[in-house]
Amino acid sequence: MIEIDRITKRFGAVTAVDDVSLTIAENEFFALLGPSGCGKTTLLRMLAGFESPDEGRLLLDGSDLVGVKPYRRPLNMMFQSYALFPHMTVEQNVAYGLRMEGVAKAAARERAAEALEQVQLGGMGARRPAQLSGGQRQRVALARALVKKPRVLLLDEPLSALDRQIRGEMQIELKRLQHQVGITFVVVTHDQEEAMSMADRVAVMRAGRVEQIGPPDELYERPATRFVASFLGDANLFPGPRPGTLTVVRPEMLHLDGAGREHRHEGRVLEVVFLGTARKYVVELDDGATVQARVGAHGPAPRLTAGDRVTLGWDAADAAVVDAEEATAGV
Amino acid sequence: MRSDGGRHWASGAVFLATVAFLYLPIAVLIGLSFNASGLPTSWGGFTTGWYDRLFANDEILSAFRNTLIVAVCATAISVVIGTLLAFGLERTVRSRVLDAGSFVPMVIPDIVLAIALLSFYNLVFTQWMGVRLGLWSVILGHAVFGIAFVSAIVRTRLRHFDDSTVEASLDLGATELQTFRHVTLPQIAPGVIAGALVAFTLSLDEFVIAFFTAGTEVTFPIQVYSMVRFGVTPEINAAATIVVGFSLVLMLVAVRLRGQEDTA
Amino acid sequence: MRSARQIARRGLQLGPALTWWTVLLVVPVGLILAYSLFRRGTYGGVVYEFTLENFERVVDPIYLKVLWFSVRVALEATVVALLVGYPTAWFIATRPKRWRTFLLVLVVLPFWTSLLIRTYAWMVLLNDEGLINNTLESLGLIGSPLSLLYNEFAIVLGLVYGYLPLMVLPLYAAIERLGPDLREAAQDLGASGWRAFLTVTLPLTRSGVWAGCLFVFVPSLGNFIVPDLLGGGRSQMIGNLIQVQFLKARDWPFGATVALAVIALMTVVLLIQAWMNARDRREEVPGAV
Repeated sequence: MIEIDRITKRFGAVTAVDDVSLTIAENEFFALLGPSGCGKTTLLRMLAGFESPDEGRLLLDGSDLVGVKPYRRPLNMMFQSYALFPHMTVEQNVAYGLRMEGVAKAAARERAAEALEQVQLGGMGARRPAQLSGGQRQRVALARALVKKPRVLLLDEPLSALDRQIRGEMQIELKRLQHQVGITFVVVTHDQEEAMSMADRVAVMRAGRVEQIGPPDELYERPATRFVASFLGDANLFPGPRPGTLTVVRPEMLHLDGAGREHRHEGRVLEVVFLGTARKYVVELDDGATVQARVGAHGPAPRLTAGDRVTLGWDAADAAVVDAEEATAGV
Repeated sequence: MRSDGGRHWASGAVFLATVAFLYLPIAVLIGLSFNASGLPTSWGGFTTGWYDRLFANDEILSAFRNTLIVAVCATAISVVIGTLLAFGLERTVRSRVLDAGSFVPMVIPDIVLAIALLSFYNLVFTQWMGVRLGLWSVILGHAVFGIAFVSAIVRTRLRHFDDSTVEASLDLGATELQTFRHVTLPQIAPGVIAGALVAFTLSLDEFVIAFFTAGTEVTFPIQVYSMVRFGVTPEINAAATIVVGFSLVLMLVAVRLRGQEDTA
Repeated sequence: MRSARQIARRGLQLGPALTWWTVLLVVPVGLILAYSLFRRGTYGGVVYEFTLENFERVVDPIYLKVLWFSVRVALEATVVALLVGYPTAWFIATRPKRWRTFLLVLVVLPFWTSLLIRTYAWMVLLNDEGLINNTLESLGLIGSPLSLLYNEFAIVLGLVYGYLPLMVLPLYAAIERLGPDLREAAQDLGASGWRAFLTVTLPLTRSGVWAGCLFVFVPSLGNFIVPDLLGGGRSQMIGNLIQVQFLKARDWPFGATVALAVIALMTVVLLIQAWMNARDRREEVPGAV
C-alpha cells in the first residue's frame, strides 16, 4: 500500500537518499535499518511530510503524497524525543490531534482516555509529561498518534532512549500493539537486534541506498552484500568460489567437528568466551585469519581451551556468497 | 551538611548585614512617605497626606504619565524585535560575533549611549529634518537596550524548547498557524512576558538617556532628579515609594515566570 | 543551498534588531567618535575641521585628574563590592537548594528599582541632618554630625549600593557550580578552612570574580547619577565631565573625546575579561564542571 518510487533527496552536495524504491504492504511491520547517515530517517521524514524529495513519487494507495502537507496526510509519526507538549496534560496531548480534526471536546476526551487504556496508561490523563518516566512518555506519544487512527504509523528510533531492560519489554509491546491495532508500522532504527526481533520485513540501507530487503531470517542467513552480512551480526569471511567474491559463514555455522564437513580449516584456539547462552571460540587459522565459532552452551561442548588445536568446518548450504567490496571492518 | 566552620557563621553575618544594607534606604523612603513631618529627622505621625498631595500635583502626574507612555512603547518595540532576534540567534544563525554583539547594548555605559543618541538625533532630526526631540526620542533609545534584554531572556527559554513539538503538531493535523498558537506561543510565552517585564521596569526607572534625549519633555525620573537637585518636596517620597513598589512587584512576577521553566 | 524561504526567515528575524542597532547604536557611537576629531563651533555645535586639539586637551592634568579619580573610585567600589559580595554569595550558595532562589532574589531585587531613587534615599540617610547622623547623635556616640555626604566616601558607598547585586550574581553562579564536594575536598586536603579557601576555592571561582568585577567596574566608571547626587560639586567623575561638556559648556567634540576614554577603558576591561575566559576554558579539567 505504500510505494516508494525512485525517491532521491539531496542536501547541498550530499545525496541523502539515492534513487530508492520499495513497497510496504498493508498491516506490515516494516523496518528501515542502517547506520547513522544512511538516509533512513530522511526517508521516514519524507513519508511524514517534513522533507520533500527532489525526485520520485511517494504513493499511498496509489495517490502521490509529494507536495501534500503533513497535516493532510493520513500517516502519523512517533518522534525520537516523543515531542510531548510540555504545557499540556497527558490527556490534552493525546486529544490534540482529534481537536485539530474538529472533534468536539467531550468526544475527544473520551477517545483519548480509551487510547491511554490501550497503552496501559489509563488514569494518567491528568498528569503532565514532566511527571512521567521515559517509558510512560513513549506510550503517551504512541497513544497520541494512534488515537487518530492513521493508515500508517511511522516510528523514529522508538527504543533508543530507553534502558536495556525496558527496551526488551517495549519490543514485545510494540509488536503486540501493531497486531492489535492492525495498521502498518514503519520503524527506523540503527539497532539490528531491534529490527530483527520486531519486523516482518527489513530494508537495510547504506549511504542512501537500499542494499537488501527481506524477512529477518532471510537477511541473516542469505545476506546479499558484504555490508548486510557484517551489519546484521558477526560474520566469518572466507574467499569465495569465484574471484572477487567472499563466502559468509555465521559463527553458529562454523562447527568444531570440522572433519566431517565440506570445507575445513585448521587453527589454534586463542580464546574461549562464555556468553551464558553460548560459547564463543576465537580461533587463529593457520593461514593467518581470525574467525569466530559459536556453540550453544547446553549442547555437547568439546572441552577446548586457549592453545588447543582445532579443525573447523562448514557446509556450502549454510553459507552465502557476496561480492568482495572494499573493506569496512569485517570480523 | 558539613559546616564550613567559623567562616560559615561569618558569611551568615555578612549576608544579613548585606540584606539590611540593601533594604535600609528603601525602608527609609517608605517610612518617610508616611511621615507627617516630611523630615527624616523627626517622626510627625502617620499620614497618607503626601500621597494625596502627590495625586494633586499635576507636574508629577504628567511626568508619570509620560514615563508610562515611554515604557509601554519601548517595551512593545523591544518585545517584538527582541523575540524575533531570539529566534534568529538561537535557531537560524550560529554566530559568535552576533552573540557578543547582542550583549553590547546591555553593557555599554548609559552616559555613552545617551550622548551618542543626542548627537545623532541632533544631526539628523533637529538640524536636517527640523524635528524636535521628545518622548519619541527617549522611546527609541530605551528600545536599544530593551531589545537586548528581551532577546537574552527569550533565548534561554528557547533553549529548552523542543523543536520536534512543532513537527509533532503539524503531523497531528494542525496547520502552521494553529501550531504557532497552540504549541509555540504557550511554550515561549513565559519567557516573552518575563522579558517584557524586565524591559518595562528598566525603561520606567531609566534616567540618563531620558535626561539627555527628552528635549523639553519630562519623564518621572527627570522630575525626581530636578526635585532632588533643586528642592525637595516630601511628595517625592510618596512618588518614589510607589515607583519602587511597582518595580518590585513587576520583578517578582518576572522571577516567578522564569522559575516556571524549571519545571518544564 | 539556501532556499528563498530560509533567507526570508533569516531576514525577518535578524533584520529589525540589526537595523535598529545599526541606526541607533553603531552610527551614533561612530558619530561621537568622529566628533572627537573636530572642534567646537562658536555658539556650540560642531565645526567640521579636522583637529587633534581635543586629544591634547584631554591629557591636560585637570582632566587626567578626573579620569584618575573615576578609575580610583570605580576600583574602590569594585573591591568593596567584592569583599562584601563574596561572603554573601557564598552564604546563599551553601544553603539548601530550595532556599537559594529565594535568597538570591532577595539580594538582587533592589537592583531592579530606580538607581536614581535609591541614591536619593542615601542622600536622606547621609546628610548632616540625616537619619544616620541623627541616630548617632541621639545615642550620644558623636558630638557633631559626621561629614558623610558630598565626598568620595559617599560616592563609593552609592556605587557599591547600586551595583552590589551585579557582583553577587556571577559569584553565586561560580560558587554554586563548584558543588559541595569540591569545597569539602578542599578542606579535607588543606590545613585550615582559610587556606583551603585561598588555595582552592578562590582560584576555581576566578571566572565569577572577574565577571562580577566587570559588572561593577564598568557602570561605576561611567556613572553619572551617583557622583552627581552624592559627590557634590567638588568630586567630579568622567560621567559628570561628559554631562557638563554636552549640556553646559556645549563642547560636544571635547565631551565626545572624554567619552572615548570611557569606551577605551571599557574595551580594555572587556578584552581582559575575554582573555581570562579563554584561559579558564583551556585550563578546565574534564569532570570538574
